[in-house]
Amino acid sequence: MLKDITLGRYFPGDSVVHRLDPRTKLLITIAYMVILFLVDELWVFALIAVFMYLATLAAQIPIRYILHSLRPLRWILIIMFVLNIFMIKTGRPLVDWWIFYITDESILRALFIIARLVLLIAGTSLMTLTTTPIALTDAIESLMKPLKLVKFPVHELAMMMTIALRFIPTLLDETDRIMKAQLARGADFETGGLIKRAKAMIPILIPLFVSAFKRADELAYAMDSRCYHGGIGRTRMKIMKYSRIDIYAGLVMVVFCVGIILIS
Amino acid sequence: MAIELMDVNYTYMEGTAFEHEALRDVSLTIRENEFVGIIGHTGSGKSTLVTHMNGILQPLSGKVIVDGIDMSDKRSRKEGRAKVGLVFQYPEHQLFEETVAKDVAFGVRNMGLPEEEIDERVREAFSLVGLDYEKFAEKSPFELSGGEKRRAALAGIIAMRPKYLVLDEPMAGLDPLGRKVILDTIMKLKQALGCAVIMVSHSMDDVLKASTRIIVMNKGRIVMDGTPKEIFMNAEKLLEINLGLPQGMILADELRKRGIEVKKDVFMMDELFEFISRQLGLAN
Ligand SMILES: Nc1ncnc2c1ncn2[C@@H]1O[C@H](COP(=O)(O)OP(=O)(O)O)[C@@H](O)[C@H]1O
Ligand SMILES: [Mg+2]
Repeated sequence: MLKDITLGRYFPGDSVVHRLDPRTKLLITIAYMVILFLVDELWVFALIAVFMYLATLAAQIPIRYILHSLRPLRWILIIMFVLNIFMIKTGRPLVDWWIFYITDESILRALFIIARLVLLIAGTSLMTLTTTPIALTDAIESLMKPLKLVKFPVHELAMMMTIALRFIPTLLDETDRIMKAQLARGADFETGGLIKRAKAMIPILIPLFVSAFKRADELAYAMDSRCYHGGIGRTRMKIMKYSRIDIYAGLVMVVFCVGIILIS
Repeated sequence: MAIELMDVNYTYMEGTAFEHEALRDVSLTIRENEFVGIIGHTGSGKSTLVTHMNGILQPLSGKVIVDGIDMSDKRSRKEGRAKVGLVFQYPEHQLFEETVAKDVAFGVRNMGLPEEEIDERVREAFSLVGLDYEKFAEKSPFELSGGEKRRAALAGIIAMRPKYLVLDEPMAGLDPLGRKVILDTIMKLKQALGCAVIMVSHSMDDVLKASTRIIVMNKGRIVMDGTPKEIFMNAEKLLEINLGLPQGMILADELRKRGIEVKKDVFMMDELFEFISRQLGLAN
């Protein structure tokens, strides 16, 4: 029932993109996002889209997975598009009828914003599809290490993220199970007004919280009994190492960024 | 009148990298008054199968019909669902009300019955599962012991008076005494309510003790379906898919190895008990 949620789902594989160091992927994604916000012409987005397409091919991820990650946001995208068309009043009017006043500029701006958002989501999806959540938090921890100098709790933050990410699928499964169990007792989540529907969530939320707290307790005991005491002196089982493909990927990204900045 | 499954196929996460075929061409008819035991390895599709029986999962292809009601039809599904009481594995995880009585009443209340009838059914369900109403009704469900919680959850389904009682591993995670109490309760329930029981279990012995019919699942398919005698006379086939044998069979085998003549169809514990008593000349 909750199967539509694909955000942050890892797509197992062994492509070049999968094998990149997670830190490289994170940095490339950040650079990519910055570029998206620097661009101010629609046609440049077409170039970026081609780049995204090539990257997806390299990752051996079916395009439909990327498109799928856009689905939960389709209403937001549509609303953004419509709002932008009507809010922008400058430019040459194309339609001027009743309350509709649409200009060429408003259409261009709306397309522009949608293109930026779609490319943003596609880029981050490509990263999460090719990187396990755990690898990603390791990368974040490693990249934020300098902040330790100013007493920022980098390790604790990364551990919290790791735990949260680790338990999202578990909690989704749990929610699915509880929903089915309450359905079997005649619960109805689909009809009635807002208040009735909100009330119908109680039989799901209470057991979910009970089990989440129980899990948290058990996890704390398990960590305690394995002598977890924070990040000091802690070594890693998997040590991240940059390799040659990271250098190539970095170079490709630098060339791409410089190119985009030069032409726009 | 029966639960009928026709060529049911089901795949989890269809169209993703995690696609998993859980049921393959499953056809099955369960009549009123049967006690069907379903056994199979973890992951063989038992839970998926029983979740189809009340229409909570819909088959990707094939049909599920409950007493003539097509469960794929959204409007009539509710009527069909009321006939099939499904108790999921670890049902104690679904408790949420302030008091045990309210929680047991949740399902009946959803059926929209008048208050007096709800109360009557709740009291009856308490006694059927062997919980003392006076003692437990006003307690919080979270204060109960594991076995009591499970009985409370069972009562919640019983109160809805299903024609078919479906239980997914009702004894999982209980100690031997708890297992016996729950199994005895289920067998008594069947007598008292006259409903059909479909029970998923890991334990050959429990299934053998209670069932009139046994279904063996392997890798999403039904591989055996018959009376306990028929199934266990085919012990080689069970061993082939790495399922264990009931203790009675192991005992009978041991006796045979020691040169004692035990007939091939004697493997129920009580039959063996009688047989051994006779051999020892203890029978009266
Ligand atoms: N919600 C789910 N999402 C994805 N796969 C599932 C889900 N539930 C079960 N499966 C898979 O389907 C198969 C059958 O599961 P299940 O019916 O629970 O088996 P059983 O009850 O016999 O142990 C298993 O391999 C399991 O991993
Ligand atoms: Mg199961």
